[in-house]
Amino acid sequence: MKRIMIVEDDPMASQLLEIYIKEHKEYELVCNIESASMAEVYCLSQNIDLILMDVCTAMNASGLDAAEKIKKNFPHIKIVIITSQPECSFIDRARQVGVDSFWYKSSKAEEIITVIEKTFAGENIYPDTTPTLVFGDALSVDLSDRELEVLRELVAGETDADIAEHLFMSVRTVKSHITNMKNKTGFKNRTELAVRARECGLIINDKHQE
Amino acid sequence: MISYCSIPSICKVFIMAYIFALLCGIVLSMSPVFSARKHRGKIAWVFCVFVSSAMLLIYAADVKTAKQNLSVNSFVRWFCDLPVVFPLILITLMTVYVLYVIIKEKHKRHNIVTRSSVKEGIDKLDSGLCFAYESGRVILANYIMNELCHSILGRDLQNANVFWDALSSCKVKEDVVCLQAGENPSFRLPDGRVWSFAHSVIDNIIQVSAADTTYLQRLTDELKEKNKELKAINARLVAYGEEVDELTRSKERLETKINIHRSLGQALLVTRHYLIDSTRDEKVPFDIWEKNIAMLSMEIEQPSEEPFEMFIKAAKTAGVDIEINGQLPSREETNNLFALAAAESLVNAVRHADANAMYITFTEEHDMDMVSFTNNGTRPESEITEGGGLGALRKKTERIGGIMKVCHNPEFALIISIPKKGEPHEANNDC
Repeated sequence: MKRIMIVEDDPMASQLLEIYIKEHKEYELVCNIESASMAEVYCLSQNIDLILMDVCTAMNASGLDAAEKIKKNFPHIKIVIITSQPECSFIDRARQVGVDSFWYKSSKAEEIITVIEKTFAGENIYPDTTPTLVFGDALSVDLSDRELEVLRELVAGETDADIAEHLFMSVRTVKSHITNMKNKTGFKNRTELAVRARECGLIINDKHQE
Repeated sequence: MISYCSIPSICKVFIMAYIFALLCGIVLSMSPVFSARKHRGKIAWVFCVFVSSAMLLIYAADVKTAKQNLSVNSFVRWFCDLPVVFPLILITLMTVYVLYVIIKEKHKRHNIVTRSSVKEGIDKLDSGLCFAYESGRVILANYIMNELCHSILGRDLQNANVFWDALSSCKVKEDVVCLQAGENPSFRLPDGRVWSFAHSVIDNIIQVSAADTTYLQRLTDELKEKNKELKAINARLVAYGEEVDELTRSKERLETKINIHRSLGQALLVTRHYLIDSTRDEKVPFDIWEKNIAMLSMEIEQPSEEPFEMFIKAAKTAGVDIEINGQLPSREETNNLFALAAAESLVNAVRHADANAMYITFTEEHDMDMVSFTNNGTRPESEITEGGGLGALRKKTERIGGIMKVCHNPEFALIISIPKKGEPHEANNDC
């Protein structure tokens, strides 16, 4: 029996995952918790084989941060990150911290189970690309990596000077990236850019959770 | 050759008038000649005065004796009989000398800086300037600085040190607004203009300068106002971001509910088929109904657990007893952080200290909420090195203005203090 832990703060999503797992006799659901900050504690004693974890969890705890710590202290535990947020940086961060597989929650039950099975078989399952989002008059893929970095800072409520300092660029360059994004998307100002980016899930403000 | 005696009277008068004018010119050029250091010019000047005076006297004597038929002195006669070209050459040379002195003086006036020109120059500056000895005694102060001293302090600029002390400590007239004290004081005068002052010591000489920064101040005020608005917008944006999280979750729940209702429809169809044809496998509709009932049961959402409830539950599974003293803080942000710290402490207590009990104490001190975590495990032998977990926790603590202390002596203790109003406090690492 493979022992699985679910880390998901949305009760409906977590119950659904619970049902999917309980349907398979070879899997045992060890626990279903709401916050990624507590995941490591369960790893200490519950002999867990795989964690099915969301990115944004209760207490503003990031599943990716927790995954990084767990992979460091319990490298044998497989981790599957599941999210409904099409945030462009999640996949890169997940690979960076050593997450075994990454999948989107909107997928069907069979897909999630397949991802779990393949992960147990030693495969790393990742979607080829992040979902393409309509962002104003543009698509999310129309924005450059640097523009997305600036947008992430904007969503976090940083000023141009702060963004310039964080991203090691001049204030003029920051303004230029913002202007380019406004031109591409057709949004009137920086606030609209930030709000729309947050609304469509292109950027999740996890800066304050880091 | 024609001599002076034989030229017409009108020419004689002209020559005499010219020599007189020349003499006047020589006398007027006395000041620049004698203020110069060179003696050559002074000798030339004396020579010119002597020669021109002598020529004027001799020619005047000649004219007078000729008119009154008097006997003429032999030297006068000899000089007047000399060819007129000689006195004309002398006169020309002296004229050239006088013109040279006048032109030189004029040129000098334009190129040499005198005390007066320095004063005149700094008076025309559009900024205030004052130089003084170290004792404060004023050496030079321009018109604007004197005016500013009057406008700001209401008295004359007598001592630069007293003036600067008054400026830097904002001891000014009531109608003057002190915008900034200290090393670069600035003031708004009753006429609305803003002046900024600077103080420096150059080779034992004090320099106090004042610059009109009205325009700069206006731009700074505008910028401050804009930054204030921007900060408010950014704060609203962050708050909005947090609300969007909840909105997204609600959307997800809605989508799940739609799926459940679709699934129910599917279950009804499968059941109908089974009822029509009872030879079909009954396990299929049975499984579908079981799954649907399970999903329907979760539609009644259970309220989320409190952070410390989650922690205590987690600790229980890890076999660690938790003893809590004091009251949990009321602020959600502080509560969440303390729960994160509790989880981190628990992991460290089990992994590094082999503890089976953990003690948590909440206290309130002045305007701070405090928590300390200790355990009954092995005491650390050396100072704790902060890894990823504690390091991240420190960052989170400091981001909301708190202080985190990690002690290893006499026992391991993690102490976190968070200001109730969210204002940052200075770190004190004493355990």
